[in-house]
Amino acid sequence: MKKLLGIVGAIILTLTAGISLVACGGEIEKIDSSRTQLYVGTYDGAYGTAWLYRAKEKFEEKYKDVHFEEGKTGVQVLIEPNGSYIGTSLRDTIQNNKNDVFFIEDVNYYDFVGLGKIANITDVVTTPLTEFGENKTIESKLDPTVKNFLKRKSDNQYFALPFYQAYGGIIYDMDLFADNYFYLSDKSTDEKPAFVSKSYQTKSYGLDGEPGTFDDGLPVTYDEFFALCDRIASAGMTPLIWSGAYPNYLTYLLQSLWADYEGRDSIMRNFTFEGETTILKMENGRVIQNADGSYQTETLKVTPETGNDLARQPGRYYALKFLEKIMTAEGWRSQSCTNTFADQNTTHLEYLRSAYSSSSSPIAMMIEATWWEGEAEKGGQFDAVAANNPGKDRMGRNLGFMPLPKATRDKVVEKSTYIALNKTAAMINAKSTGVSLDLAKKFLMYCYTDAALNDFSAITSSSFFVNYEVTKETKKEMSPYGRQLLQIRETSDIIYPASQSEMFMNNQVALDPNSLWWANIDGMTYKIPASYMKEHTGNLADVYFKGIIDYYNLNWAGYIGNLH
Amino acid sequence: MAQQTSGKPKEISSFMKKRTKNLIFYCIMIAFPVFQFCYFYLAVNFNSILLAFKSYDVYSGTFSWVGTENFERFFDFCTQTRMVAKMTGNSLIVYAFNLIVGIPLALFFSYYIYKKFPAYGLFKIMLFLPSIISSIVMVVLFKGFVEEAIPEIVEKISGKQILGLVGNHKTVFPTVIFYAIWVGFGSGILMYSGAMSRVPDSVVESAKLDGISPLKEFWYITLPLIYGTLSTYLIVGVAGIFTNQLNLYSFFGNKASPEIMTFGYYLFSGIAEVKTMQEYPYYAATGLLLTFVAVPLTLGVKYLLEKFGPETVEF
Repeated sequence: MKKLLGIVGAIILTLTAGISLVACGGEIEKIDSSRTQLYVGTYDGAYGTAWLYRAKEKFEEKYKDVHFEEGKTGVQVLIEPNGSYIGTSLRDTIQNNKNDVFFIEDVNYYDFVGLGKIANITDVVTTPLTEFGENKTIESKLDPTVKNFLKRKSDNQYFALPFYQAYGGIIYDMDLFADNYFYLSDKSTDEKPAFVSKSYQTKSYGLDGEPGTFDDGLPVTYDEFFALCDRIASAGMTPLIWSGAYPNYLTYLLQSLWADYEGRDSIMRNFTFEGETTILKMENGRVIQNADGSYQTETLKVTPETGNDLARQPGRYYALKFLEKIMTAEGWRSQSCTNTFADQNTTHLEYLRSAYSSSSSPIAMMIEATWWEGEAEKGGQFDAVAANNPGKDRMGRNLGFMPLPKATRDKVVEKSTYIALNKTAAMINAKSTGVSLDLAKKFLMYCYTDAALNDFSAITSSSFFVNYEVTKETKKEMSPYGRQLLQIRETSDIIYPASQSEMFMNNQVALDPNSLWWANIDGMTYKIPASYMKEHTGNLADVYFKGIIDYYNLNWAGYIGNLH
Repeated sequence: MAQQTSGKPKEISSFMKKRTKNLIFYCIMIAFPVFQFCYFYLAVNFNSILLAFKSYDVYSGTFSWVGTENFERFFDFCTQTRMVAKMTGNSLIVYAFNLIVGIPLALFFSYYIYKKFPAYGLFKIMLFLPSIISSIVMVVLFKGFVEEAIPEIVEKISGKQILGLVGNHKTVFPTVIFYAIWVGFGSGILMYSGAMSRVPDSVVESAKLDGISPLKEFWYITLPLIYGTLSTYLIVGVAGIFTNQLNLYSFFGNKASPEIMTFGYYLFSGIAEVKTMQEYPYYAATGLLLTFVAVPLTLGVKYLLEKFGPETVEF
């Protein structure tokens, strides 16, 4: 009996282990031996694979009668979504991976290039897309900050293209705002904020200064935003929520606020180490304030040797002041903000559900990154809310991405700027050769046609990190959130935070945008401003700002030492 | 006589054949583990030692020798921040708790189970369970309890709203230490109760006849007889001072507060979150430096335990 039990137990364990092995990676369809196969791997994240399957359908249809190999007609694109397909893990294993094309994130591009792990795709990028009915090249669609990094300086060659585009910010519930008169009126000033109290009253014109546009009534300065939070709190609702398990999402917001203040050229100094920028003057470790409340500044000529003074960019200081305010003001935050068990899924559900909950107050805004909607859709949070509230699924919720308010009113006229997150990339495996390589290049070119890019936007309500026009038909397919995000994209600069300056190339981790918020305070290194502010009291922004300056100064000699 | 004489070479030949077969079988069985040890331990660590003296060139994708540059970077980290002092302190606190609380409790529970005291079966399951269940699952369950259930219970009882034990920076360190000790019981109890079960019954019975109490039996008989196992654990614990990451990565990913970091977490999260090849040499150098501290410390403790502890008895 014991022996039999032992054998049965061993079989069960073997089967369990076998099932878990089979479960690795995503579903791959059955191979059709009458067609030539092309293998495509993608990070199984917020944007899912529906867009890739649409590209697959259209690509296979286009080439259904073409012979790529003898005895075979057409192409079969096999897609593998995999949660482990990020740059850091794939870099060491890509040569053993069967996939020819990858759409992934968190890529250290020049590691892949230097190690010869990805194919040269210069022809893909610079050849007009005439095969797909377009006269443009992919290169013409690239933002200059992207081109300046991905196009290798030494020989003008490309090895990857940017994948999705995402940045941090504030999501708001448009219906909640409208129903509760949370929009600012045209009579509002910083000294005396005013809100509409009737639906026929005129809202303020928003950042674009034009009436009748998507940003009417939204705060344009930090002061207006804080007044908005006070109004929401006094209405018995919760102004803000963010994930307590991921305080680094607040760092994404800080990056956006910082970039938005500085503008494209000035923020790029942190990666190019050339040109000039304005920095704050300091005295005894404190920012010098004028009588009118403004801060004293000076001009910095940026070089690798003076780069440590970039720590004193005013946008960083204002961003920290913003963070300090939202983290310390009474009654502004949901309890999830301090709950380390509240991951992004829990937070999304709490936010989406709050508008219809009878047991808790509605939450007006959520601090997240632009990819949140895809995550919430994939994770079932939208469906969970819609199950009890028919029609309130992803397409039925009027959620928006708030244009970032400016630190000071004089900045309101300037274009919004965001720092792109996650260093995404589309690339071809260096081991792909012959027919596989040809097909991989064709597929990559197809994915960057305006038609395919529109498909991506229609399905995900987001965008690739390239310039393209989104058609009216595509906008109809997008969610209200996606349409609003598109307007943000069309009216803002979104920059790729990297350059081929020797300083950046030799210090890529230290000069990554996330690392530029590391601070040295009382001898301890803090990496996440929000975590520090949660644990401490006092002049948090000033202390943390000084800490960033100290961190820069302590480590800068080492960064210079890494230059060859 | 002739038959007897011719029998011996046959026996020897048969014995040699059997011995050869056994040897071949043994070599086949051991080949893979030996290869794995040589490739994944010896070669990897040897490469890691070499890596400590190199730096990565992002343009050519190659490593080149840079002497002690990585070590200097670590020394700067030591002198310019309090991080190393803090991590050393935290690592030693964790070890101290394990030594003063974890090991005695593990011995007590093991003795309880060994003596089959009331409900010993239940204790066995409850204490082994954390070792069987996946670490991430355990952390999620534990975090859910301390972050949501405990604040809710407190609010219902006292009406007071409190932060979760992990979300509150004042309680997070004791909480993760408690968790580490609790989930660490399983392996300790397994080893100690295994060693206790080898204590000869005759010795125990003889002591019982002399009227020994359970406590005296533990102190005078059981503990000395399992001293070998206990000393192994004590020595391994010292070696683990610089590698014990206190499950912080499971709790926080790379976002643990610097106030609660240990060396093990610093190294683990550093490597786990490496974004570029440029970072590997620094961590290789850091690991090597910590090895220079851990090895003499561990050997020293081993020497002291052997010199001053009871003689290990083989039975």
